Amino acid sequence: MQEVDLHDLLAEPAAYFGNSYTAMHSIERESMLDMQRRGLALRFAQHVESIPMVARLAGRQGVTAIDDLADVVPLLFEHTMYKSYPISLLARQQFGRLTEWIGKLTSVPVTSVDLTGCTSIDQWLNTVSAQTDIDIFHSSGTSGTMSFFPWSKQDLVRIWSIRRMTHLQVYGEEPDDVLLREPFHYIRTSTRFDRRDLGSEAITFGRPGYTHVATEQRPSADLLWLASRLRLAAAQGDSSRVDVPESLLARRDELRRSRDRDEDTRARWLAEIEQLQGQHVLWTIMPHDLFEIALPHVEQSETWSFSSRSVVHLTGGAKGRSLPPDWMDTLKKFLDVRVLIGYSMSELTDQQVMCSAGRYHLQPWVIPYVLDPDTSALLPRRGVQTGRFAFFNLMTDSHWGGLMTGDEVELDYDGPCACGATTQHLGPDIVRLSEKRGGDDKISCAATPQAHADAMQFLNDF
Amino acid sequence: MSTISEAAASGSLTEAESPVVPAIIRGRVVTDSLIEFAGRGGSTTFRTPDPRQYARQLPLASPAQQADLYDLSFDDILDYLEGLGSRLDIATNEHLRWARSLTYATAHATKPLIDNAFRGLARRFSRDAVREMADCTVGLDYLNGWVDTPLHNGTTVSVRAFGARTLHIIPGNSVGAAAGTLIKNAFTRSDAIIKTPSNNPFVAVALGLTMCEYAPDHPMTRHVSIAYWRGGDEEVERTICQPHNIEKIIAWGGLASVRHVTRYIQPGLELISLDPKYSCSVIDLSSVSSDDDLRQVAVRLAVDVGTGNQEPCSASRVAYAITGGRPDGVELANRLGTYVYEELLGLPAGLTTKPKTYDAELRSNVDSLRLQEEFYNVIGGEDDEGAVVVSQLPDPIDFVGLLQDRTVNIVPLDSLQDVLGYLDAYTQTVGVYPESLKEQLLDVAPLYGVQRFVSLGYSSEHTGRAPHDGLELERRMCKWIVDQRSQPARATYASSRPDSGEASAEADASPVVPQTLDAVIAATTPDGER
Repeated sequence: MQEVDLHDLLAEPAAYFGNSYTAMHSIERESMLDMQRRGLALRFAQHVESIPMVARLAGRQGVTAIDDLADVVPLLFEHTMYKSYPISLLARQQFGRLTEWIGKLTSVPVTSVDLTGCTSIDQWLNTVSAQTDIDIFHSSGTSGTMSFFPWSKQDLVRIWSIRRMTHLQVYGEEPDDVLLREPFHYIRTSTRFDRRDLGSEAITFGRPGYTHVATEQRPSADLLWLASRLRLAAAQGDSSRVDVPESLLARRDELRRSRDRDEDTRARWLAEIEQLQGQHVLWTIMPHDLFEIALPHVEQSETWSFSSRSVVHLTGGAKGRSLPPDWMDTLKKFLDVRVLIGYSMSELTDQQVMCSAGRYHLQPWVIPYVLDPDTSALLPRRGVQTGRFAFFNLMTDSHWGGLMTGDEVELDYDGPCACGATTQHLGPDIVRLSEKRGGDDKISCAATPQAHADAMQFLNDF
Repeated sequence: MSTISEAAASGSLTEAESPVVPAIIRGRVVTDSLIEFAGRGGSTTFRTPDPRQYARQLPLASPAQQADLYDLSFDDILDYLEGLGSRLDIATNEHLRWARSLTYATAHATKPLIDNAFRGLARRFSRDAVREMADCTVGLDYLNGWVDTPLHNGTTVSVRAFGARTLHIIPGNSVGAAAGTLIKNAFTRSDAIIKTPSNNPFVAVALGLTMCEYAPDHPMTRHVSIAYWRGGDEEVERTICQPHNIEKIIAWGGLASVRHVTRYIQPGLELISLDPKYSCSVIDLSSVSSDDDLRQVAVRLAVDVGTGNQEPCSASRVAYAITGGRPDGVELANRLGTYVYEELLGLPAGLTTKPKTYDAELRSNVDSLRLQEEFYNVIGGEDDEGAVVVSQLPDPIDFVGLLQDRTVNIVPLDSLQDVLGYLDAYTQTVGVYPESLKEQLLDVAPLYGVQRFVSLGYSSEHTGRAPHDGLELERRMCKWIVDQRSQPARATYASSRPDSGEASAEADASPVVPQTLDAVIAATTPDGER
């Protein structure tokens, strides 16, 4: 067994594998498991000291050391952890308390942040970003709550170096100069999750005119929040009761204007992309969005061709929308390019991508767990297991790497993959547990989250 | 098509796995052309006759066929229901026992709660209960004849409530829902197609099987069809949901159940939607002075939270505790939380039990809050027995919609005014303590959407004698027919009247011309004789 140098791996994972996705996913299984065990013990020792919420959970669970991969299961965070603040902190603009809250979820000290004059979510995010080493990623708030997730710049740089390899390279083919050293055009829908635009840096090497974003500017967290609370108030039957500060409510028109503007910008964005044909591009987009773009072009028998190295990277779930069964055919008729399907979430952004055998390969430092969907008890860590997906991601230093997701997966712990890669892999069918639990045609007189979500969806579509 | 005894003899009605759920069509039991409906998300798998093959048989062929219901006296209806009720003893009724055993397997409720619900079915059918329900909700006079109201101008308006042909989409979280539908259908002299839910297709059918044995040819039996099809099955729903087949659709469960049928709504077809609801409690802690008082509040709140393991829409999910700005307000709310948790665990088994399973998504949320000690005090819940979450700030948790399995959020608020902001059209019932606090709520909270007030501890006592969810369901089940009688003086013919001429220049000054025969009489009668 070749022992992995943990320090080198965690410092520069891409360089550790010689910037080769193939090398990364050809790691000897025994070495990988040994690395995972040592890495987990290291992360626990570090974070039980530096992340207050990890210390609190470890104290409650009576865990003092991690020897085995399964030992960390009682310390995995619920995926709801990053939205577990009282919602009124936003309405009452209590950003000090919100900072204290997020300070318990990160190893980066935030207590000294000067929040003077901070009266909006955007200002809070900017202030924290300017005065500390963390960027706080936020969700869209469409479900009614906005989650906040802390990332350090160092973590993000590492993640992006991995993503460049993962997105552009093909397993089994060693990277050449184009893949390693040439800038790619980077096409995205929004930059919401990437305050410092580190993603663009990794893909375009900072080349001007190489980043193409559908929305002119980063969407305002405040406006997203406002839109979400307006919808909620409407769903509750009283549009006058919106629990946001007056100053934010006054920006209601801005919300409308930004929607109109987005329409115009989007048209320009598509025209810009059309001009990139023949060049190297990485286009990250949700399947539904791309399908909508593709359909009218396919009807006109139009095809867009990019360089042979180009990649369309499909990410993000269905978000309640459905696609026709032949959606992939439509995409392929429109785009003459390699299509890569990724599985990721805001807490696991270093991308697990689908291989030639149709399986999602986990990066070597992502330790997977499959839990009983009802009790969250660990199912045996061997063979093929289906259940609630949980993981510990060793690559993150700024927040706790252990999380129980809301997804159901089929995981092969031991078996080799037909594609040849040695890493552990998930089956292609990943579903939200909450969607599964809803069931079909169950009628109840009691309000359920599903009923509420249906009403919200109805308003969103209206 | 087979008889009940044939079906029972084949064992298909009592099979534990993939049970056969017959369809009931107007006194006939249908068990052929079975197809399987695969359970998902906690629903069971069962076999039932292919609804597409017999959908055309479900509706009443002609509305005139309701005439037989009008040959029945109200006493005949009470006789029928009473006789049916006497056959609903769970100790002896094989169909109910069959439904109960399947409900054990598939319902989220636990055995003691299910036993209790089945034990309570028969008494709903008693003479006195049905008569009182019919009288309080619709009015016996309107159901059994024409009710005259003389108007000031000499006209008499006479009104009678007629039954309607109705599709009922019933909920599966209550054993009593099917019984309630059958009783209302009977006393309004209506015709029902009951679409059963996937989360309990058994109870309605067990009642239907009992009706078929008891009086297969009785008009009350002949005006009921009970079937399962997957909600949204276009072939079935397009067949049934036509104005020549039904006049009304009563849909429980809100958008989920009506999403598919709204496309069929058209003139002649009315949708009555009973939206999904949740309920809460409002408690004035500012006047609570002793520990004993606080425990009194706690046991009442525990009952409203725990009843039916919090499955009914009337179960309390959030308790707003008004502290009146007391400095010990949050501490008091925490103490109340501890007592409520104690009481929840000590309530009688027919009322509440440890849940069969605890919702995983709720557990995920509660466990996250458990670590947020600055914001929330989580009491219990580590054994999936139920939990009390006391907010330490004046805010409810953000997953109120997930609260179930005996989990309540106690929220300390300074004043009643703060409570109003959290009440909305989803709020069905508000349990209030003390009684005097109601005075400040009764005329105000309905404007925010509240539909029902009860004394704390009584939220799940649905009397069936009052409006539900802010509407008079039983009255809306009826068609309200008017007979208007006027006895005007003898009118003249056109040829015998002088020419009235065109409208005069001073039209604005002319008297109002009645829009009836009175216009003719007025035009020809000298002022002094009118």
